[in-house]
Amino acid sequence: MRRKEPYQNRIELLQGTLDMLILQTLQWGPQHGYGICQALRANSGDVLQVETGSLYPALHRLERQKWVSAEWKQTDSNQRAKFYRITSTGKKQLSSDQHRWEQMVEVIARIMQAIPEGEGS
Amino acid sequence: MIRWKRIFHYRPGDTELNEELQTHLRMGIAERVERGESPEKARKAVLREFGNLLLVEEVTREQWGSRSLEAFGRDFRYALRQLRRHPAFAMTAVVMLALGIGANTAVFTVFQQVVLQNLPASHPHRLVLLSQDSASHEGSWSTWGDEKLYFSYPAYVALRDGNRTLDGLAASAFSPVNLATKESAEKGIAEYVTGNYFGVLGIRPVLGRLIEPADDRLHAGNSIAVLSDSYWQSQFGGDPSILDRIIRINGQTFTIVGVVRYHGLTNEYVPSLFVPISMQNAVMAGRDGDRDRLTDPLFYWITLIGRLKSETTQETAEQELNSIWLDWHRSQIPLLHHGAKFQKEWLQTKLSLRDGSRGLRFLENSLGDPLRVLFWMVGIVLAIACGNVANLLLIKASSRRRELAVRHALGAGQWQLCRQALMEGLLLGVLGSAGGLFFGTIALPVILGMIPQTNVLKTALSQHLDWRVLVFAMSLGLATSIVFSLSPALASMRTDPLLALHSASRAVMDRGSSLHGFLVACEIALSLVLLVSAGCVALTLYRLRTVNLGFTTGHCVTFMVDASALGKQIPQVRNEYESIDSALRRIPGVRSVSYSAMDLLSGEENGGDITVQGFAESGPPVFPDRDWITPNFLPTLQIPLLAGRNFSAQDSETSQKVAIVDEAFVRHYFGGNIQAALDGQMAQGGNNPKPDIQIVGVVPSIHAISLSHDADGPMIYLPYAQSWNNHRSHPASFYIRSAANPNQLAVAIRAAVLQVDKDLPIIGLGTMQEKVDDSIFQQRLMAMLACIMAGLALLMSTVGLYGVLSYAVAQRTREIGIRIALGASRKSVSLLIFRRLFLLVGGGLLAGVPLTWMSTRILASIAKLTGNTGWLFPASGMLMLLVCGLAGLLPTRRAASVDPTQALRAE
Repeated sequence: MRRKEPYQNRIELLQGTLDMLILQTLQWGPQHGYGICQALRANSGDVLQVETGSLYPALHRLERQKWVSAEWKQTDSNQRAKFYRITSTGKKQLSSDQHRWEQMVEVIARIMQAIPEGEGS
Repeated sequence: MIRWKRIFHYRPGDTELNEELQTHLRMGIAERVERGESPEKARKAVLREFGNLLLVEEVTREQWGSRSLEAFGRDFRYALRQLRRHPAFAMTAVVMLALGIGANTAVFTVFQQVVLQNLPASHPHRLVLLSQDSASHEGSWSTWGDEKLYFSYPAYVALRDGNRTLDGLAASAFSPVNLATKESAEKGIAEYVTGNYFGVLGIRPVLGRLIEPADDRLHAGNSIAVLSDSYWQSQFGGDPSILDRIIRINGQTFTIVGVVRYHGLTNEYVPSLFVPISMQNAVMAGRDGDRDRLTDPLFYWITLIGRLKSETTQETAEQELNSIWLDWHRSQIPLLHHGAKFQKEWLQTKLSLRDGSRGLRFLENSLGDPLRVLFWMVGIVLAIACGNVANLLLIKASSRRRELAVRHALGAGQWQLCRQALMEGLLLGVLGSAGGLFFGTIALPVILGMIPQTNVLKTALSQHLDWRVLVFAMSLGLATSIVFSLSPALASMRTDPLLALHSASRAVMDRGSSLHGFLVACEIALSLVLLVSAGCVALTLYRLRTVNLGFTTGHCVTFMVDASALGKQIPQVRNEYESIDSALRRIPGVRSVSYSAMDLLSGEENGGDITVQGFAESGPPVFPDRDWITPNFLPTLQIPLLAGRNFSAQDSETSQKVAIVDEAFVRHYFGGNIQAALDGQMAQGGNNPKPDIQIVGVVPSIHAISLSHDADGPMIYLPYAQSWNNHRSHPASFYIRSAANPNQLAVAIRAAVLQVDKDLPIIGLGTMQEKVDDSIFQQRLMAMLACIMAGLALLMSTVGLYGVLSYAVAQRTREIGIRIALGASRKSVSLLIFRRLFLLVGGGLLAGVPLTWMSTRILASIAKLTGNTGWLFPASGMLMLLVCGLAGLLPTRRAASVDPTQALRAE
């Protein structure tokens, strides 16, 4: 029997954030899974290596929530691939995700930069 | 749609998702190759980077939420595979469950007919039955059940016309009638209904029209009849040209105007037809003397059913009807010339409303208790089946302990293992339900065939299986499957992989086998309960069958004819009966022929009030049963004459009216003094008419009405020859005593009757013994079912015991091998197994004794058990010991024949 717990844990860690990153990537146009993977890596300056075990579940989750739509098309190199395209609800979701993300970054930054009272005196 | 496809057509490497992932891999490889890596190396690197392809696939598919369904499908296939791999186990389990569920379903079928069925009316929940609670007991009752539900016709009219809270109030009454058409004649039941009856119930005809208010005018009703669907089917084969044909009811002509799919207000008596209530006089002419039921305020004979208006509550309606009720009672006082005591009681009366959605539930009164007992019995059988299947599953699970432990160690969750065990149980349960329904459909026609035509169950059970029965069987299957698979499921969760993998782990097994033992002991206890209960019921039946009827049933054939029901005139009827009588006498081998007006053992009473000279009733009124007999009646049925003389040919229409009475009559009216009785004179009817009948003989009391009916009700016999003037209806039940073969006799009898009148239908031709059996059919069915249940229980617990013992021997093979190797004799090994056997059986029996005692007490209180049943305990106990000992024989012999070297090598 296969165990699945480790992957589930990792998905949970990145959940939401990864969705946002994928939606953000798709803003530039329809893309297939491999392309998204490469784009994320390139855009993060080779820092972020998204696991396929996280990426594909995330893509299918987004598809099910109708935030992206999917379509089989030929690539430039004449290969059949499943292309994902962000939908209008996906765009709305992205902007709200982005807003929340910014808020969170701000809040976390504030906490991390705050000088504890005891230390300050 | 797509999702279903995903579940059922999923094959790894064959889906869109797989293709998508493969594309990903190809792209990765292509890129690396482009960068100059060798294809082989690139492939390895990409695969390494990608991780577990199958796992990614699974997790991704999970996103679609179909996993639980898919897992369900997987568990289902796994369970199916398990059952296929152990066909003997699967068969045993399914057959046991099917028997248990089938028995329950059968009883439920009857139960829902008797107790749950609503009237086929529109909005039945708004129907109410009227019930009265009165202090006065003055008057006459003609009831078929609960007296409180009966009203007089004038009271009905007052309630019907006075109320504003009901959407109509209807009345109905039943009576047995003789029905005759050109083709046939038979006994039936007529329901007298008011003109608004079908309107109030909201019932439509299937053919023609129903009885309408215009048909029902007091003393001027229309002579029309509406047939019930079942009578139409059985007598006329559903012939649609039946309308406007003539049917004779007690000799009166009625025109058939319609057919209705409706079986009357009560489920106990299925009416053949419905007639306007205003025709009651015409149908029952002469039965009540000079009293008129339709105008007599003190004659209680109709039941009232009304429909609440949608905006009224039951309370408001009750209030309104009560005020009308009291007003009517006050208005009647000046008309009823009775004393002050009566007037006081007359006004102490209250009306209440009862739920009428199921009509008059008289059948529930007579069948409810036997059904409840049966429900308990089939429930116990199902419990035993459950215990057995649980045991089988446990045993199977422990033989798979290693497998489970391995799967557990490989990462199968406990919940998953438990789920699979439950799924296996569920599958068994569903198969068991299906099997149960299958048994049911086989068994029902068999049971139906045994029910005599006259029994009400015949109609009740002839209905098709309806969805409620199906739902019941299925939910029973599911519920039981959860019950019996719970313990194996929990056991699977308790599995400690390490321990199980180490060895066959006997330590854990012992705990398991004590559970097996417990279940088997429970089964044995329950079987004892059923055995003793069934014994009690069968014994009661035996006593009933061997009860002294007071007349001889052997070598006696009976049948009934009713020439008067065909509308013939009295001289002709009389002529025919006398011709039949002499024609029957001429049949070779016939020793004696007689006929009487009453049908013996038919359950019908024919009581009426009488006046005996010099006797004043002190207690509640007694209505002696009456029968009109020919002089040969007493000799034919071998009823001895205690004193006085028998009737003779000299007792004719014109001679002195005479009567023969029974011992109970003498006890009641003459204080047991037979001589005084022989000088006594009496008259039919109350109100002290002039005594004109001379008592000439005394006979012992007999069970004339039915076997279970007490024989101590007073009975009067009158000469058939003196009955002609009194009535219009003259049925004749013939009794023929002959040593000839009953079948040959029947042919001869038919020929003899046909010779006299080729149009005269012969009803119920058969031996008296058959008649006795038919009359106690309900008790016989009950006893038979009880015995079947007990047999099933015994069989199942024996199978269970056998299984557990075999398993114990298999488990202890190694231990037994060591014992034998160390010098233990075969005998001591056998004793080892037998000790376990007797511990189980003995424990079960001990636990069963108080349970059984309790259940027989309950049984005695509701099923009218008679006689001493104490000896049934030890007898049943011995039987169980014997059968269980036999069940243990094979495992014990197997234990004794264990070969030590093989047993030790096997580990």
